[in-house]
Amino acid sequence: MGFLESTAREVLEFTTEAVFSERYARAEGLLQGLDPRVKLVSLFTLVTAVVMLKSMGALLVFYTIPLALAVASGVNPLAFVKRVWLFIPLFTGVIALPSIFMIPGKELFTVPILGWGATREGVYWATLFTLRVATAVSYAILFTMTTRWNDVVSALSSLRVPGMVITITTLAYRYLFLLAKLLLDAMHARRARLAGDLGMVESWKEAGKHIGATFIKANALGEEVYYAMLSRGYDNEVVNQSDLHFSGADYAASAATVLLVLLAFLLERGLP
Amino acid sequence: MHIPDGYLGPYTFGFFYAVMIPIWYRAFKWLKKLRPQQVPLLGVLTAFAFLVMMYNMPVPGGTTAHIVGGTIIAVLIDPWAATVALTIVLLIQALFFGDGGITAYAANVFNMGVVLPFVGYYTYRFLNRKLGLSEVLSSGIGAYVGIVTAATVAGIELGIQPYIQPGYCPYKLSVSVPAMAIAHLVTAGPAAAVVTAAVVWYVKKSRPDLFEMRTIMKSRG
Repeated sequence: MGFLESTAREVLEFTTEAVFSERYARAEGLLQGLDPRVKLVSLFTLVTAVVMLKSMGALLVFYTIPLALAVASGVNPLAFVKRVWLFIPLFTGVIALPSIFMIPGKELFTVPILGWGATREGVYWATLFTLRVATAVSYAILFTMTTRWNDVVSALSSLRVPGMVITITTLAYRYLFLLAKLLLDAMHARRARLAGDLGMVESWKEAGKHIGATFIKANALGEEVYYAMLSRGYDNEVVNQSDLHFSGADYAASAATVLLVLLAFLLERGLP
Repeated sequence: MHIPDGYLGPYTFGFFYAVMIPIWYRAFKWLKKLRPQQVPLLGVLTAFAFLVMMYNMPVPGGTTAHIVGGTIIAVLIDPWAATVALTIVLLIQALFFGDGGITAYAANVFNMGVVLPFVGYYTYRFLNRKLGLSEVLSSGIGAYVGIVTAATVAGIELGIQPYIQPGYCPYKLSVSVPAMAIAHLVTAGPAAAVVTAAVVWYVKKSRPDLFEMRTIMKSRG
């Protein structure tokens, strides 16, 4: 019954994770005080700049920036680094590792028994690639940790994302946790009645039934939500009540983003 | 199948943002045709799509795979509903869970929110309407073809990097395409097929009226 257990754990972990990240987002700090629109646009700009970097030195500079920002925003730097590097070895490492042996160049060492030769160029390339992915991920994770969900939605809304898309996004996020709980309850109920182990294909079918039942519940819920909204005065338009306004700090942050892009450009070209 | 930041070069991810703009416009036009009560429903179904993606299932080789659920939504509602749902799901995943990159976001939506549901849906429709196979069997095969095609497309996106902009994904097409395709042919593909077929079978058996909802979505919409 591996899949039920692993799914239950995943759902729980991800729910607590989402709550956990709001904890930092609600605290006082440098990034928490900024307008979410500035943060969203800066995030996109900076990640794009990072992805274009090709030199190790420039990447190291850009890797330390989110670390410094995390400290200034009251985010535990260890927790931050841990969150960034948690998935890197799993995905990027697997992709980057073979290139150590595949890229031709000056040989550094040979793996005993297998006889594969690692090259200096290969190691450099794998490090560069991994560092670039880690840096890009750092900016995204830092944004997540210091921005509240509602603020992201307000930012998207004032960046002219259509109102209908915002409504669907808001409802999706809100009902995600409820649906996850319903699914978890159903799985626990099923497990309590189960004697013995299910085979692999059998577990897939079981997953299908659970997903089917969740779909039916989601449908019923969708209808109820609509009538609940209607009875509270919904007239097919969701009004965003947030009042976002630019402060001096937001102008400074926007200017800092532009300066960082310039810095990235200069570091790549070589400083004058 | 989520491509992170740093794997695709600027030309490729820029290209996919350009490709996705007209597709998002078309999806938005589809949204505007919905009746008011279908909007909250689509919100809850987007949450449903999110949950489906979190379902990790055991696959041969001792690891787990997740299915995307695009074909499930495409078959039960409409392929455009799958595009809208996955656009939102992938945005939440990229911004809040670090799953899938920000620069690679449009490419990820293209693979999982456009290629997968549309290929899955039209395979299903062809098998069901032209060849007369049952809805359950057609949807299972549709999900299989959809996820394998989407994975292959992702493999191509990664594999063309060494040719156009070295420094990103290091593997050529001869490595990346088989790696992505084979993994999905033998692992996530069969899981997606069985799960999707079971979902369609279950919904058809217990709530046949819901299964007809897609016609309601279209005719009244």
